[in-house]
Amino acid sequence: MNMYDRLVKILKSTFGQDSETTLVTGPQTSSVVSAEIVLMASLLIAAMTIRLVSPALMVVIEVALIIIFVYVTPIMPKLYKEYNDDINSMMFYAVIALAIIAIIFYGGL
Amino acid sequence: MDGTIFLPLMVVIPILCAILVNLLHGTQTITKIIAVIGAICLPVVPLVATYGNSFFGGYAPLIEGGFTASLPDAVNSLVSGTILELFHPAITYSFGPGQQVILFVLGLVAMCAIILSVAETKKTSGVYLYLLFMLSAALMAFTLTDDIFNLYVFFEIAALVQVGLILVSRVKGNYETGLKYMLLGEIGGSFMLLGIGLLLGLTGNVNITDIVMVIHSGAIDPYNPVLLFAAGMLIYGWLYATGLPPFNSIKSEIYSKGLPSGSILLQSFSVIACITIGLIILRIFAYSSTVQMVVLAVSVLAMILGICLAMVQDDYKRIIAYLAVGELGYIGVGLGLGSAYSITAGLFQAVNELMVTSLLFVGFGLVLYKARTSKISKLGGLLEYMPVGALLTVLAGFAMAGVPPFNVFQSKYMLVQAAMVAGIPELAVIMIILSIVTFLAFLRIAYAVFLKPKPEELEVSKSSVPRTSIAIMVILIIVCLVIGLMPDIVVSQLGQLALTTLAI
Repeated sequence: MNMYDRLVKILKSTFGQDSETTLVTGPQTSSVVSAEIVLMASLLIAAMTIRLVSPALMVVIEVALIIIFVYVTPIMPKLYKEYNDDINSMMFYAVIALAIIAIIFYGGL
Repeated sequence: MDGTIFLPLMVVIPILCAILVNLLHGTQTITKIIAVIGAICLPVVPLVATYGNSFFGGYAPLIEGGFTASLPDAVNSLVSGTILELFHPAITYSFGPGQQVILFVLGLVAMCAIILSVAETKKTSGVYLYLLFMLSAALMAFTLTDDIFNLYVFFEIAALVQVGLILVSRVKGNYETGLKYMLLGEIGGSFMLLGIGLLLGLTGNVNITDIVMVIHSGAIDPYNPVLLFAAGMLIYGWLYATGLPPFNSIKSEIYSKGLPSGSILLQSFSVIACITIGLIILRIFAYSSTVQMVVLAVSVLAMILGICLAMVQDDYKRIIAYLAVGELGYIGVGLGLGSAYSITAGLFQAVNELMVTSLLFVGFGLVLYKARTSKISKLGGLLEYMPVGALLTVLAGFAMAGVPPFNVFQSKYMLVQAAMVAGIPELAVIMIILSIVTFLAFLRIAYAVFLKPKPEELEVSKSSVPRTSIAIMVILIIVCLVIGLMPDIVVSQLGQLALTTLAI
């Protein structure tokens, strides 16, 4: 199975209840592919700004991101599922963000 | 006449209108007249007001001769020549060139929302108009106030009014969304209040100018962990108010559950909160590189997530909502870079986004009016049924994507320049890539809604498109075009606000 067919199969299971009967249109697939590429490219470019803190750390994070992308692609369908309107996941991320901010600032970094 | 008398009126007029339209909602004609007059006042009052300060519940600082009664000699000797002379005992509203531009554009957008609401409903709802006016008043106060606790009070009023706007929209699932927004607001708002409380405890002040003065005078250690923790809590409140990650999901949901007129003001809250709270954080904690880095990191994440998630949605209301959240990231980048030029660019982007996102909500409100669905997979062929509306909506989309000669092109260009000057070209590249993807997202919607053959099962309303909506879109497009062609009329004024922010 090539990459495109694999992506369409994942999209069918993401956007519909039944992966056999769900229709995924060409524009929808193209949009997801575009979003996927943009997400990966943007994160890799954004990670390059870590050079301002430490060039060595930047290299480690870039390599880690590339490895993650190789193993978890396609990311957008997963992200779409994660960004549902469920209050539990919203609360979870709100609390996680609060914890990260509290640690960063109370640590006096 | 002293033009500073108009400063409190910018908040008082919408509150008065809110009370009146609610009291008189049984009388349709009078309610409509009050609403329209009040709406017209919103952009006009900032234009006639003169620059200066207004003091509530107290007097001007002693150094300005605000307290006319004679003080006992013992008190005078204690106060004279000390920092106490500079403190602001009153709730202070500051109005300068930057605030004038922001308030004018906010007033224009609020006016459009209120007039749209009056025109789009056969039976005008006093309660709905009350909510629109109260949110307008809160946003005006947000922009004017120099008092962080006063800002919090209006922040809470605005949060409640937003829930009200969702509850009365009658969109499917609105009650659940309203409840979720309140619950998350409990977290975001409470921790922001904790940050304000810590600042008050450390500096003994709630006036922002005074807090900055106390910190920079060396009265307290700027790197005191409690002070930095307060910065973190203010940033967390900023994330909630603005809808940056992790609150981008709920923000996009509430935009999609509002009526077009309500959604305009809901997104205005996010934009105004982004710049007002953002500027406060910058003013107080400009010395901390951690604050700048966190603001930048969250803003970049918001841009990437917002725009990528917009690409995979099937509901155009959600697409616009996610794009609006993504665009807030651009404002955050401008503020986070921390130079006068970048802050000006961020403020310029905010002013532009206020108009452009409103345009899109009105435009896609027309699509909803004609087709009764917001699923792009079920839409198509609407160009034939609403050619003028389609053209204006596509132009609005191009404006948001930063296509010249519209205003957003100028602000995004300034942001890219600011990133290059700051020595972070990566940010400039990301902003350019994401602008292109925003353009792609609009091409997708435009194709799916207007150009694709009409699905057989789609029923399109035969009634003509409301002229009020078209008129509002034309006005906003013209303003976007004028600002795009002559950005200096706005940028020069916003630049002064940026310089004031960085002045110690």
